[in-house]
Amino acid sequence: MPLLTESPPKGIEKVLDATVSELVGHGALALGSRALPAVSAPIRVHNLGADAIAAGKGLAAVQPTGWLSTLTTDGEVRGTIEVIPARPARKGTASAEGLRFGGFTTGPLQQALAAAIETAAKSSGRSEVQIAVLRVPALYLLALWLRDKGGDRLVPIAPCPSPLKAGEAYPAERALASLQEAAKSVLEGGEARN
Amino acid sequence: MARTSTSRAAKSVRSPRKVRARPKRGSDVVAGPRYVAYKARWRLIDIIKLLGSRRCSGLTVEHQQQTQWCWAAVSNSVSHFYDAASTWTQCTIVNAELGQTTCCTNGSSAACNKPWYLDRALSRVGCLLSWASGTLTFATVQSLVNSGRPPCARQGWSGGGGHFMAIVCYFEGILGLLSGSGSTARRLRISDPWYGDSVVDYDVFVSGYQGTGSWTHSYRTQP
Repeated sequence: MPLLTESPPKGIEKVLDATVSELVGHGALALGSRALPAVSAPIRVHNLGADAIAAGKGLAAVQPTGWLSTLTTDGEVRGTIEVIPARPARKGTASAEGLRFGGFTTGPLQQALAAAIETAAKSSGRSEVQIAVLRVPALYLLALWLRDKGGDRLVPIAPCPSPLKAGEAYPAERALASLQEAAKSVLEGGEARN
Repeated sequence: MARTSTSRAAKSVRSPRKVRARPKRGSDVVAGPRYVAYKARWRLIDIIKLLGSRRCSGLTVEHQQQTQWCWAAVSNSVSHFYDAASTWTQCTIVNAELGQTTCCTNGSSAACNKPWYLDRALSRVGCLLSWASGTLTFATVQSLVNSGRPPCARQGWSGGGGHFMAIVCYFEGILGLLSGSGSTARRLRISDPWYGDSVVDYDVFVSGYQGTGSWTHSYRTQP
């Protein structure tokens, strides 16, 4: 089964390797004496704003923000590394001018994300499935974005906002429509609140 | 810099090896997992890291119990950081702030699972020194962390909405040269009640956190 993803820019491996070295050097990543860290192939990350969901714009409004790799040691998921463009892509172009470390994140959400990627790989069978990560920070939604012959599907990662259920594959349009009212209420919020 | 060891990868990496990425339109096939040849750089990194500095406050923000309770998780964690005997919980803070009585038994209700203001929640638990719109300089963060008074922050998302978290550590040194920072690295450890703990570049935290966040408000805390 191949899971497919958008090809990352050249140089991403160098940034990933250097990031691991830095994390170890800073003590942010503790390694056992025999542990050998491994990073997975980067997966494209997209963000979607509450305004786009409230307006019913759907996936057409996503913004590509970076590439995410899972960091493991001896098969144990330690977190995710995000690599971002060193400078934002110029308007009208898809390519990034250089790359840099964006963040190393640990915790249950990242563990659940790694597990969901593995599940998606197992369940895709022989069909080709395009995979990306979709973040809707304003609604606390992190999801796998899968695309195959059947169209676009979103698989929310636990925990996820109601009425979505983690691990279920929703047609993207339906999933985003179910969040439309929540998105509208976010837009009504005050400046200094969440 | 890194060496590839596909045979070892296949043995011990479960999730990553399943991702054999191929691009959707005319892009190249993305390689599978690779092991990072860290050990070869062990001595060099050990020497270089001595040229930097790091400090942590000891604060860890607990996971938020409801999707909108980042403000409650952060304020409750700060309360317990300064006072181990604090009796506040996320839901009691929510009850107090929202004028509810049922948030400890039915926290996911519409009346309880609501966005709110971190300054008010920190005031409620007695831990707000001051707050203001805007960012803190890296030097100010260093000073606050060094003095054991970790600051909190609000990230505003592009497209609306926001989120609260605490800045609990800083790292500074030339290791960042390795990963494209271009100069001395200034990293922060963020304790985030939703995303978890993360190490991010200071400039990314100012603009670009989780892809589209901007640091909009800062909160100084006190015992």
